[in-house]
Amino acid sequence: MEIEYVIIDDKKFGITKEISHDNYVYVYLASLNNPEEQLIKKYLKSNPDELLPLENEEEFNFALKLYIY
Amino acid sequence: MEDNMNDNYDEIFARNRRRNAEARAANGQADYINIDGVLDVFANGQRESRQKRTYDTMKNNFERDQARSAQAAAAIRMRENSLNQKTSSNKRGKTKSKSNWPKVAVATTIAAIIFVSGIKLSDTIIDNLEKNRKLWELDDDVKAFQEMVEKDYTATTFTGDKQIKYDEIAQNFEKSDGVIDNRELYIMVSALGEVNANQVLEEAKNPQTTNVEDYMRGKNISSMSDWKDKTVQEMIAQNRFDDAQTELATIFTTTQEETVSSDTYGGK
Repeated sequence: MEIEYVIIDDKKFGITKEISHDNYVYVYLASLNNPEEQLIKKYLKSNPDELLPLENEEEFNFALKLYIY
Repeated sequence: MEDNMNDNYDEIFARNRRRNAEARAANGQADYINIDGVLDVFANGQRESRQKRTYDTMKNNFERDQARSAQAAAAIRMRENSLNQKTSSNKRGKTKSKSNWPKVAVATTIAAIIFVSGIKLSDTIIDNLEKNRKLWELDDDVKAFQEMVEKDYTATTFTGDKQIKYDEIAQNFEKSDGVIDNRELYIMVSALGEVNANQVLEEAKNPQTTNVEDYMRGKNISSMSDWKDKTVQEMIAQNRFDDAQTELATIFTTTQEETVSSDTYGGK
């Protein structure tokens, strides 16, 4: 199968899911070399070139909930 | 695969056993450890005959702790990485992947967090849990995999305050003991729509490599923990990941052998 990836800190992270919410798209990532290394990033729909960190714990929990609904 | 996995566990177990024995000796906590089918612990210069455990018991405990640690470490790291205040390019590339595992790994971590954090599940997820549970029960291949999972992996117990939410779906698994095993996690992942049971079977043939030990070494964590101490589970359940990280670093320095003896006999 083919998987899309981005490079973060010189490591390839596979894009496992993208979920759109309001002005953002949340991106769920796992390292292709070490799937235990995972993270959630987001990007602005108006600026899709840049992956942004989640702002705080609250947003992290929100992203988790977004994933399961 | 099963033989390989057992061999791997044996190797990991032996390595940790040696390391832990050395640590205990260095701390003056034990004079001698001999494992020859039976574990004898000589604590404080005196043999305590009650402190005997079979190798299998030790091994099972180690495997269970490893499974718990893998999930917890992935959850902690996901949170840390997600809040790391760096921006990066969203420039995409494409590559071939032999496995669906990255997708499953993320779903598994999130499923584990859901179990411990008490995030309420949607009706759709609950319905899918029930549907997939039935699928697992009906499919002979899946049954075989289930047996393998239950043999080679051991149950994970989450007992944080918010674990109570797990009871909401426990009925779907006809369980009420608060024990989450890998089979249930995979059913959960399946319910999240990431895989179906047959895909899980395929994934099972290509199991992930656990890098938890490397992670622990990077964090100056020398060994597995006694997760029967509920502290870390509760911290994770309360989203106190920094506290959990610190606690992990402390308790992972205790030995597996000490864990077994102290739990049962109040040794430490």
